[in-house]
Amino acid sequence: MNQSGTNCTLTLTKGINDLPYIAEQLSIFLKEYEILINPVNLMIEELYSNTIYYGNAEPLNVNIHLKINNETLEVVYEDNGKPFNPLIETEPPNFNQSIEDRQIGGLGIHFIKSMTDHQSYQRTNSLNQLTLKKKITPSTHAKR
Amino acid sequence: MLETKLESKAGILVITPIGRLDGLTSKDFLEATEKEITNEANKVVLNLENLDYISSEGLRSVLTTAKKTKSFDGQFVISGPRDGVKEVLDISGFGQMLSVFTTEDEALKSF
Repeated sequence: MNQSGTNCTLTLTKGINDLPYIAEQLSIFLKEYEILINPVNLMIEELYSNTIYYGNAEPLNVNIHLKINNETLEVVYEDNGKPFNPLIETEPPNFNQSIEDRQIGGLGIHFIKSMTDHQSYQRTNSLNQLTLKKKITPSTHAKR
Repeated sequence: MLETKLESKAGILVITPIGRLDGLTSKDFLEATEKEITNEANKVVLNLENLDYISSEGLRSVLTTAKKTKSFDGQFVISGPRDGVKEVLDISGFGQMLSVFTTEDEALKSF
């Protein structure tokens, strides 16, 4: 990982076994913004799982660029899977079902939309690139 | 990294996952719990006070456990989620679908 100041890049190639590495690196990068660690970890796990299980990336190569300042956290998630825009190609979850009927599909992108203020997608150089932004509020600092 | 503690309290099965429930560990959680829920042991408290993190794969394993309990005509409730986990339960709709109590004691008293 390349971690300097308020920027950091994670390169992921090992599949689901990368999850402990992601958690460890985020706890370092976001140590001043502890309240953001779990949400960012969640968003990355959901995107990475999608790439691993549905992206048909061969060989798997994901780069995540994180940038933070006093106002915004930006996450740029790039994968070499098949073209896929999760912002429009994912069915929203059905919240009105009973336990017996409830399925998990679509929750990942629902988390991402709920937890960020901006999402955009583009396909460039044979990569899917998803950009997420989250506003940093004073309470983000205070609630360490 | 996940450890799953199992206890029986006054005939109620208390399942306490400790650590992280994610795409890597949810299989361990299912393996630890799948044989514990039976026709006789169909009252379950999932105590989340020691859970640091949950993702949709983790929720899937919770849902599997809840469905299994229902299939034995039982009751499944959650207790003690910390803020980060509670937020995920709320956004996913699980918080509304399942009964969530603040403490294990309250959850045990609900049966």
